[in-house]
Amino acid sequence: MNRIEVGYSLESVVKRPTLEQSRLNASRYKGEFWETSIHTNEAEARKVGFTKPLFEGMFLINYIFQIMSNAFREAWFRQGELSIALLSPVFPGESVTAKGVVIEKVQDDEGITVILDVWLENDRTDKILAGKAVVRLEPDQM
Amino acid sequence: MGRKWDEIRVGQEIGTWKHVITENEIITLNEAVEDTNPWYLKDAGGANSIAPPMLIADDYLHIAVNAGFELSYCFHTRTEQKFLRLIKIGNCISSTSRIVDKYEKRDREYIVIETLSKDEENNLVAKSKNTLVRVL
Repeated sequence: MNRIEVGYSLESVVKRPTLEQSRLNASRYKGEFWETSIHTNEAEARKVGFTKPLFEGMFLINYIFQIMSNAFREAWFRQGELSIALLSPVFPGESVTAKGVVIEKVQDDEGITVILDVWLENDRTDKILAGKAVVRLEPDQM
Repeated sequence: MGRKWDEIRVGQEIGTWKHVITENEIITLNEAVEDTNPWYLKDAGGANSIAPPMLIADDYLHIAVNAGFELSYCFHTRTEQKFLRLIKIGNCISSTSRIVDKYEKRDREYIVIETLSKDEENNLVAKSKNTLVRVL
């Protein structure tokens, strides 16, 4: 991971999630709630002013998890932190890209702390969600 | 609608969800989000049986739904996640959620749910805070 310096861009992940994928994710939860939520049901989504279901936030945040785990591997699972604001809805059929850029790297005797701006953007490069990620690398992970 | 939401109090523990990380759960999640990372496929164990952190990051939703909270018309507005240990297939995770804030902003109601997740040896494996807003 020596290549990871300030300004380094993580390998991005591009997705075009479907309503079926949203429903498959929702199937992990118990009960009927997920069949009648604005994330899986068109009629319920219309009640709050949308023409179709919007993706649940954690479903989208998964894509940030993916770029972080691809870049930092076990370190992300052992000592990873994320703070994200969800800014606007995403609907089935829209393309999203998860991105991350290293903004700070702090080295001490016991390892390196890497701080990143991370975000998800749509085709128009509008940010859908955005925040900071922090990962701590031990000497054997650098 | 929303009776449960109105009953929510700051400091209230809303529930605990105990679950064993299974290969089927990982396959379902990874198919849903198209994550093809080979670490998540169980083969020889060890590093290759690591579970995606999402399998505990959304435990608060399982807990809130199981507790009967009305979440059908909620948006997720903010998340803070901290991962502290690897989780693997077969780990038994126990997550407990409590309400740490409840407020109104621009005529909308928000709640903040804090969740602590521990493994079978009582090690803290993850903690999170998630903010939800009710829109209807």
